[in-house]
Amino acid sequence: MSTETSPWEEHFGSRENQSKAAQLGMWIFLGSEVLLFTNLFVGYAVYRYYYPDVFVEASKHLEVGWATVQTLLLVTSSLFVALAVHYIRQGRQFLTALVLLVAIGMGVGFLGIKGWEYWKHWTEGALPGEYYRLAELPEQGASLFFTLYFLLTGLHAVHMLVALGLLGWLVWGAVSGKYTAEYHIPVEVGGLYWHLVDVFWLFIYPLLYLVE
Amino acid sequence: MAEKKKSTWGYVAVWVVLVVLTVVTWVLGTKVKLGPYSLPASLGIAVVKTVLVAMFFMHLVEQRGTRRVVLPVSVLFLGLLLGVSLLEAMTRIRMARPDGIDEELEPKRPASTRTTPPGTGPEKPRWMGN
Amino acid sequence: MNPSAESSQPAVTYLNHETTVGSWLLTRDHKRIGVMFLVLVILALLLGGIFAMVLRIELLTPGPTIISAMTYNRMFTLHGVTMVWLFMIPAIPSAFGNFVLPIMLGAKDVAFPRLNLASVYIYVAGAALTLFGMLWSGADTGWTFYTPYSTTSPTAVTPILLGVFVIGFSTIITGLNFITTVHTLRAPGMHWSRIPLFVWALYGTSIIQVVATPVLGMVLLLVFFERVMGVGIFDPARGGDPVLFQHMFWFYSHPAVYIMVLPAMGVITEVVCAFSRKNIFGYKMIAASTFGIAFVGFFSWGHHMFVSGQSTFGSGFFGVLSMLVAIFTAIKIFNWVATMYGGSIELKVPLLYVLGFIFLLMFGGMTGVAVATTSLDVHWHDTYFIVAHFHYIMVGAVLMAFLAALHYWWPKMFGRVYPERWSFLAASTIIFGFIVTFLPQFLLGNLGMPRRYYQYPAELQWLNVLSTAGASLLAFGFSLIAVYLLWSLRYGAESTPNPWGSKGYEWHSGSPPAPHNFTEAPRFEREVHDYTVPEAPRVY
Repeated sequence: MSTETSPWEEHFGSRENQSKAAQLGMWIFLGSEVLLFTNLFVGYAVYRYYYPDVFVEASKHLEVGWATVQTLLLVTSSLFVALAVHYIRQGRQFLTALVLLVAIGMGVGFLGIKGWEYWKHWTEGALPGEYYRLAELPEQGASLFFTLYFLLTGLHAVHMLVALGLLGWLVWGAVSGKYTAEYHIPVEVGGLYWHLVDVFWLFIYPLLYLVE
Repeated sequence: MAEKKKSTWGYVAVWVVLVVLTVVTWVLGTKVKLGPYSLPASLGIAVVKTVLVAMFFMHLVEQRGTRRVVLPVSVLFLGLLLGVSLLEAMTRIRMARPDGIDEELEPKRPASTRTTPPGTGPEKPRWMGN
Repeated sequence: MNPSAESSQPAVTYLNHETTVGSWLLTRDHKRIGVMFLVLVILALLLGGIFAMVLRIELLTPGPTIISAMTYNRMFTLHGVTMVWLFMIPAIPSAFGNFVLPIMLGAKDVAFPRLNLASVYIYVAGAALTLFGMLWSGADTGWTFYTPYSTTSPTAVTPILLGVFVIGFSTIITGLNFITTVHTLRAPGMHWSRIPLFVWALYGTSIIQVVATPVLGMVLLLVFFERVMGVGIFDPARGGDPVLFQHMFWFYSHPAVYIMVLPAMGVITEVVCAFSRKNIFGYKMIAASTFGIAFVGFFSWGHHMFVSGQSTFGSGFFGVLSMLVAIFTAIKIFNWVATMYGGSIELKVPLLYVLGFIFLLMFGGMTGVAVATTSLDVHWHDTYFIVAHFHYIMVGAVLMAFLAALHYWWPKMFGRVYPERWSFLAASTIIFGFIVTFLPQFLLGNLGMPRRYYQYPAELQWLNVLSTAGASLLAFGFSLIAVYLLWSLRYGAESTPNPWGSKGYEWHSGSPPAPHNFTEAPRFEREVHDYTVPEAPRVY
């Protein structure tokens, strides 16, 4: 988005229309993101159906407590992003930047916990596919669990990184005064993306960590 | 564009519900053993949380028309692939399942297609495959 | 503007208002982006066509002819990959859709012009990765990348997987853009019941693109991870299920057929109306059947997997639902024919292609119902019968529609007229050549010749020779088109704003259109293709 020109684009006809179009575009993009995660959820469902007991046992190698903390972090960060949209609609740029920064802090905390968990799995050998070295569980099924674990949380983490970058860009925009009570489309649609990443985690959490 | 001044407390209330639901999920999953009901219970809570996030944090309640239906429609398609693939896997003859034949349970890929775990053997470039 | 002026073409058009290379490469104009896509997909068609000719020449004799068995495996893979992902998926939506859709809606551009430009470069990047893989060592998995072979093949499957993954984003962006454009950028008077059927077709296509393409991207990424890192998600040795790969692959790749066919049907609808001088018969039914096809197309992916170990229940489910596609297709065919009935038909080249399309689509569709029958498919599966069936749909129907669109909108896009006689010669050659190429393949398949085989029994040679002869005719026809179209760009007569006398909305703008499509805001006071009142078409 170029800064030198007005953010309102002429071919939309009206500002409301541009806002509508941006929101619709983002919702469609979010829809396609859901479908991007679909394969992994389908793989999870089918393999859990094939190896129900192995999945229960493998799940015990994950840190349920920390995952709950992660869930709380994400849910709270979502609150702050929602507040950011709330504040920018009233034109309060400083407050917007502040709550976005808090959300970013929580996102970084989430990724920190994730990284620590990954490191623990690495030392334990609870790794996907051919790197699987956990002796107490059969490779059939358990290696698939950890493949799905790493793919789901990894894809989620990549989305987190993108979303964090997006929030950082929004902070910069809010601080530099680009967003006002009239024009704040990027905050609205950027917030949507953050919430969607949060929603993915709401499903990943019970599916991977709370198997019984 | 919301002209009317909305309070922040609405968002906080939603957040409180989300936190409570998260803790409930955790308690149900680790303390109370629900057995076969645990999956529907935890997924049900996740759906409720998602609806809350979508409706209030993502302001889906404010949206009209297409913007409102896009996400639910994409979830329907997720359900389609998931449901039909699972149904197909459940109705297969035993032999066609990956866990179907007992002697097939051992890894039997030819040695040439297997690679050693990292740090235990000579590494070869993998970019063109195994 | 006065259409009957000395030089009927507007002085400033999207082609000449800026002429630097940079003005093309950085353009946000949907028309220039459409033209760039047109050039790119035609190059892809050329490449895929060359692969096809090599395959057909190789199959002239039962034994080795010009290439080795390994090269043959690579050739059919690259032919499939190029034709499906580089040509057919973007061909009509990205090239003609980009050009025509905003004009039809009376908009100045698509909703997100920058994203639209990005879709070109994402396509180029994906195509470059794919080409890189082709030049490195090709791939021998077939375009379907079935595991476990695709995870162990020693050929350069990896860059090709990534290339296709990247191209997927280009498709998603185009779909996203079109849906948003249709919703937000319709001009005053363009209410939902007036939207041209080509736009409806693109809208249905866009939904499939947005919904299905991410699934393909992810499944190819999974194969990529399995090749590069050995995550083993589809590896039976670790408990993985290769059939699951096929589910995920066909969840995209079956609807992908409708990504190709629906825009083609949209083109046909426009052309049929224009050359029958009648509004479409059954507007609502055609629009509804577009969504019927798009919807049912998502419930039929398993008909590719009848012999894969899929459950009997699954096969029955998918087999029955696949047949429903025929109902919606038939609705369209009846409506096209009913539109032509009683119209004052003017047989121009685009209409000739439409006639070819309808005939070939019937043929391909009917055999499609046959192969959706589980018991019959077990006999025909992986034989040339299947090859012939899907070429009737993908080449016979989609390519005909592509050529119809090219000839119908050529004056619109470039303001030039191509030589009519040559174009009739080329069209006849192509339709005839197509039938000679692929009709024998039905017989070959029924006689049991498997697809993707390098050699075949000597008694099947005469059918193969016939097929190769037809392919040569096709190649000749395409070369002819290339020659006269390129010739017309420079030496062709200038076209009038509306050379066909069409009442389609896209002819409201000049030919070629002005940089922002319209010099004054267009008004949509009449139904699309309303030929009832004799009145000169108005150019806004």
